[in-house]
Amino acid sequence: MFHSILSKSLRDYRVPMLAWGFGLLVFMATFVAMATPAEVMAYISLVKILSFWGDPYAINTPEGYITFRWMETGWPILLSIWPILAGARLVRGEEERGTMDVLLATSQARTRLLLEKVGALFLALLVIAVLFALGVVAGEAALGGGHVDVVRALLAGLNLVLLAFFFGMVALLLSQLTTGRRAAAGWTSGLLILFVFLNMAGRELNGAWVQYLSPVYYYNLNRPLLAGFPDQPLASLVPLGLAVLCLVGSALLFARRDIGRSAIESRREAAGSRQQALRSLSRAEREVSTRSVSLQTLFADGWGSFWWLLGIVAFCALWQFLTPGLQKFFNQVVQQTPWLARYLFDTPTNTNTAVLGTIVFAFVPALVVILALTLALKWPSDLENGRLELIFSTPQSRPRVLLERFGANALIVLLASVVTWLTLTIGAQLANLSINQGRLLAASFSMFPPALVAMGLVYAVSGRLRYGAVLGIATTYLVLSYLQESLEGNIQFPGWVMSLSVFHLYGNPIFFGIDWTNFLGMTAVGLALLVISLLQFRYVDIELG
Amino acid sequence: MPAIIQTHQLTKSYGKSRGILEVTFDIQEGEVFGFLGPNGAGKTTTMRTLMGLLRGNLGNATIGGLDCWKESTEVKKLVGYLPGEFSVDPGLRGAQIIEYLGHLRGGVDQAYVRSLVERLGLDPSKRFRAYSHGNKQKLGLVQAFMHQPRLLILDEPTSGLDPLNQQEFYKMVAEIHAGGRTVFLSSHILPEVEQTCDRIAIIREGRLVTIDHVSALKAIRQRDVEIAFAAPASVEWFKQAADVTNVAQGADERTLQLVVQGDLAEIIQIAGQHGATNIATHEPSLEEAFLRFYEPQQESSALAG
Repeated sequence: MFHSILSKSLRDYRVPMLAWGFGLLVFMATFVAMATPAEVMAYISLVKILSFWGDPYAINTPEGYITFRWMETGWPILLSIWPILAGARLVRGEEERGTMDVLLATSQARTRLLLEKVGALFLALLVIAVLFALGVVAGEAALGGGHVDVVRALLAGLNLVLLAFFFGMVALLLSQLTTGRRAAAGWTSGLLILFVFLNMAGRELNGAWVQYLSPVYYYNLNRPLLAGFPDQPLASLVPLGLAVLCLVGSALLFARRDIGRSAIESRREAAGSRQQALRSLSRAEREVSTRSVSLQTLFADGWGSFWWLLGIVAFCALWQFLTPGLQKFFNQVVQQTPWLARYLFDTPTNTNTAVLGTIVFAFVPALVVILALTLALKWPSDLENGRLELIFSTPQSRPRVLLERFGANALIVLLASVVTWLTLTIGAQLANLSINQGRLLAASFSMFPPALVAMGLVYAVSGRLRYGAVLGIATTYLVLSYLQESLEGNIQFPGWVMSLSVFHLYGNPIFFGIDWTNFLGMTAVGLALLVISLLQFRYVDIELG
Repeated sequence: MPAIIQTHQLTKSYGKSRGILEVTFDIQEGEVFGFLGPNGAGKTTTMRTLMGLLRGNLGNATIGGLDCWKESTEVKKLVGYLPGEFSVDPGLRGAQIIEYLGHLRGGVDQAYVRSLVERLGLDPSKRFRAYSHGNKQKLGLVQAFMHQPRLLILDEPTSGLDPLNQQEFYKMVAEIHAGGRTVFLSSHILPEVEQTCDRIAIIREGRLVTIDHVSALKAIRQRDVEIAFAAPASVEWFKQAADVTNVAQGADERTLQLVVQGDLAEIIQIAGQHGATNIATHEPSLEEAFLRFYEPQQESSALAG
């Protein structure tokens, strides 16, 4: 595997490739197998209110149901996440680690290096496409057969990974223009959301021109799982062609720019004078961000958190906009759909507020907890990369540094609760919706304890465990926790199992107010985990990086 | 003079094959103390244990009478530390890093910071990711010196610096020394150690091999002596001589090769008694003297590092 840059890169991708691939395989096998006529019929009633999500072509067939539910919007978003991260770090990651200099010290041309790495990413995506197809075929076999053949499954997988590859190449291009991979990944994620939104807006506004701006629209012009769908194979060339354009642009910029700098920064910094350089010391003296560990953490997390908060605001605002037109229909659908009624067994749906609360507070708590997780994960990452060596050479005690970092993370998470509350309050005023302010406040601020538990868990196991292990433990716990709560109406878990889920313990405060026992209990667990992290961190060796 | 650093039987083990073993030494206040050893000998481990970044398994270490682990926060008020490798948020500019660490330390004179930046020719307006190895090292030196600490612990401080900046660094160390403050530095560059240090310690495979004044180490250097005789010579003549560490037959039966550590008076006397016709000595450089300490032991110890 070390014969070429391509094979070495493919080796580097083996874990995410297999994880995403086999994850998709299991997921598709399960959901295709579950696409029984009863399941499909039950879902059809929801299609009207979910018209922004997809186009219900042949919705009464298993393949139409799967296409509508997962292939039009869901998987294009989810499967693009890894290529975006991989594209952003494709060369920028190597530069940040300082390994690019070593690679370029060999007789490899920059363009070839870039193409081999991109080739590895594309091959990894093809493997994922094949595993996806195997999942569909396996599910098809379990369902009874006759709906989707292997070729169609493979074409669907290919269509999906072409779009994901496009987003990976956008991230690669932006990584040439930004100074860090995180910024490139952040901007590309923003574009992904924008393109999905444009496509949704196009559907809602009956063919509005805005959807033509979105590669997601061209992806959806082909639905290989559907036998009778009028596919337009040339439409696949749009995301592919755009990906190639991004790749060519990246190759041109990468071949010309300084390693370690962005294509823009190289020129700007060259113009700096000695006096300007010294003036930067005076500027830094006035900067608030340099005053303490907590302020530095807040500022360092600023941009990333801003995008998260903006996403939460957009999500809340979108549903506030859609709710008045949906409420009656949504209530009717819930009453007529047994599995949905079971899913929302403890949730009223008979008012605008109820619909808004149901939809917003089914997802925003998960977003806030994921935000908390991403913020907290920087702690083990910094520890492992030796970024705290200089901090710990100053007279700041270990508990103090840890507490300041944790406090800064907690403040941003608290801000997410405030932002949710403010958006819904202001939106309700503008949309003339009557919302119980007390319940809204309860629902917004009850998101904090689950996030506190997630952060506490990460901090408690950091120091002793490597970053990858911390990420695995925390992510697994939260995914299981969310699934457990989502399936509660359909699967009976023992009470003690349910009490392990932070999302279950979050409860339904938008309708029933704060459950103080759970609120205080989770807060206590979060604080206990913080205490554990403080105690164990006193004795760990600081990694050299 | 009181000792500012004291270690006693300090041991740090990472498992089977790395660490330090029973390291004991004192560094006096006002001294410039050099720490020498091959890569992986345990220099960085010792320094990071003194800084409270690693927890020693056995023994103890104090700085200014304070325990390096239990009172590490207080210890760090006395110390300026340059790690052998360090990283910070790559998006931060040099000026921001200096200011940030200055705030965390407290008591930083901004005028002194500017003078350090000027002396070392650091451009603080660049982001950390854009710095070369040498510029990162300059940044590390600025942050270590900027609060004018009582003790400087510097892990290979001239690594990556150009000769001009190396000279500037030697001047800075000399100023610290003249001001009665202490420097504990590790290095591979012997002329640098000879020029800047009062005493040195040599560590090999996790164990302290020797510790002495630079001048004393020069004195213990071994010399190769070749003696020619008019008649066939015997190695037995010199085996009882006090300063001879090795004796062997030379190129022919009338020549002997000796390794001598110390004075040559007794050798000359014995050689005269047996009718020596010529004595040639070869003075090894300090470099060669150190290399003998660096050579790995035949029976390596359990810990190395």
